[in-house]
Amino acid sequence: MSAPTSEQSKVKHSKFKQKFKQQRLPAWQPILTADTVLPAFFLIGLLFVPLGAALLFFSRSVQELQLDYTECLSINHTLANGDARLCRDVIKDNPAELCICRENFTVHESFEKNVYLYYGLDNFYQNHRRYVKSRDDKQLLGRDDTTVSNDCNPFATDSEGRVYAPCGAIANSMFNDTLRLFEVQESGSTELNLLKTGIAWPSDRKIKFNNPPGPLNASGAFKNNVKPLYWTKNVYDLDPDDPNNNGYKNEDLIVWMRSAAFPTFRKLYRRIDHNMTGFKFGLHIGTYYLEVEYRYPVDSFGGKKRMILSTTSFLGGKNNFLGIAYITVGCICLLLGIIFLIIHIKFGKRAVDQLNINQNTPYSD
Amino acid sequence: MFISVYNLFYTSMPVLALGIFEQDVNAKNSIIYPKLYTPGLKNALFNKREFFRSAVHGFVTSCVLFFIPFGAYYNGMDQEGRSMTDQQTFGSVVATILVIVVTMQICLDTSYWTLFNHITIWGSLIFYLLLQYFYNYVLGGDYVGTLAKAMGEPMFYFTSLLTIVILMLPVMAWRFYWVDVAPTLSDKVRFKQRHDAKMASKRIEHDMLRTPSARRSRRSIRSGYAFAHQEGFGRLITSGKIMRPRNPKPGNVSNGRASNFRPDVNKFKMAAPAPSTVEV
Repeated sequence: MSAPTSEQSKVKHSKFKQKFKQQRLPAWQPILTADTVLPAFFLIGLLFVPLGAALLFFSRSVQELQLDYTECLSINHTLANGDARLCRDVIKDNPAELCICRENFTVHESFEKNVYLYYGLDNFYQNHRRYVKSRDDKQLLGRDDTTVSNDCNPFATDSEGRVYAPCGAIANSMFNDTLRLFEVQESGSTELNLLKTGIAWPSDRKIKFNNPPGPLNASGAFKNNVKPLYWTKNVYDLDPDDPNNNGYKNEDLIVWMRSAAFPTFRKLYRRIDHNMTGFKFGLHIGTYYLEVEYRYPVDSFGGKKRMILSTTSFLGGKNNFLGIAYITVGCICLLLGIIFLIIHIKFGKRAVDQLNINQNTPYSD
Repeated sequence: MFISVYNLFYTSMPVLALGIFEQDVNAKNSIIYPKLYTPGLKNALFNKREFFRSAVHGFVTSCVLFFIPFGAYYNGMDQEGRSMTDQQTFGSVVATILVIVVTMQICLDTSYWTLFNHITIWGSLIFYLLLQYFYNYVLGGDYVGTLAKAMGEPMFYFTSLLTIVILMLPVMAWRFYWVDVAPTLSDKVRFKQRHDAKMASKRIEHDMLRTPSARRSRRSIRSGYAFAHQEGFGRLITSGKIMRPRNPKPGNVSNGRASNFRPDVNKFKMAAPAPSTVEV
């Protein structure tokens, strides 16, 4: 019978409207009483302290090795008196000169599997407002290679009007040192195999970066473009062996274009290939050296360069901050809980006082 | 884009619902206890001191909102070693935690939760995520993939839990202290309302337990002695529900018959202006 049910729903609706207008809607009215707040304090305290301890444990299980190579000595440039020159001075005099330097390091405890190689820069403000804006995402998607947005200025076009590929200050200042790792053994040194793919965010590779149509060379996809001002090779020479990692899809470029938030940062450079013999379970104890093709000048702004070898954990890299913060907050919570319990017992108003009101009770004592 | 839509889309609806539906005591009690209106007369809830206190609270909140994720994401990596310290990730994390914290703050401020409050508050959070997705994936914004990646790592959840607790606990502690040690009249009336509601529901429970015969006899108070196979009024009489009025008016003849059943009329009058202690 439809008539009674529509009647019923009309009645219900007008009852609801009545309640709505008279502000008598059904509602939950919570009050902060001691029997909800104090258990909450104790619960949070008891939860956070072990959680912080667990986070600290995870952070401590990450192994890390840092090596600053800003002032490493060249192996083929010497001063007048026979001492080796610093590579940083070599490239200051002649930026096009190839300076190779080596830094030894020892691994004291073996690193567990999935070791990653990073380069770290200090005092490099990738978060400067004009720097962050200086890119053209349309060009990086391969859509337009003849005009670029004004954000790229002054690194948009060269003096003859040809467009830089890729344009902008971020791309122009791309990190171009080459890092290689060698292990020192009795029979000589062997180079470690490093993987150059799988270092950029998958979403970036798929969605934000794409090559323009055509073959990746000077007469195909990039025929209207010229290489950026500070680069020594063209964008289609970044990885000629692997067409999936060349041009705008080169993972080193993608990693660099994701500008860092803080002046001291690290970016993933390579992954250690654990299919090498002897490295199946990680990086074993031994003597190694880092060989650098030193090209990137950081001296003019007082910057530093380092190499970092690190494993990861459930939470990412080595960071004690969260663990310590959780333990601190948990302890403060417990302390507050105890203090408030004492205050409640000694000074809290009991239910008799709370309910003992009449029209003459003042608003607040 | 975040700054433009923050005020419009993410935070306006809960405040609107708060403004329309919020009540600390119901309409009946507002009239009984006129001293509830004292803070309005004294301008106690919005003056220069409160504004200054609000501004300082905002400043401290912003500092915590920046420095806790800063410490957590300082050399952040994801589980596959990729760097998570980029400017877009950091910005997305801080913005998301901000929206959550602001919503939690309004949860603390809401004391009368109607359905609309629930819809606007939880809806704001869901709408934030939906709008982020829509703007980046559908309209092609440049933060595409950032929030999804950040929220796919456990670090984000630990950081946001820590930030929320650090920001909410002092507020909760402060309010609890004042309600416990020096409750205002508004708090006391709210306690009383809750207490009365509890008592009323207890009474209804008690009423529900009464026997069917008593209920039947309430419906029809004609004499039923002729129906010998019924229980009769034994239980009704012995339960004391039929009572002579304590001070019968002159001229009122009570013949003991059930039709002169007068319940205790004084029980339901409004509270008299004389001071009285309420039974606890």
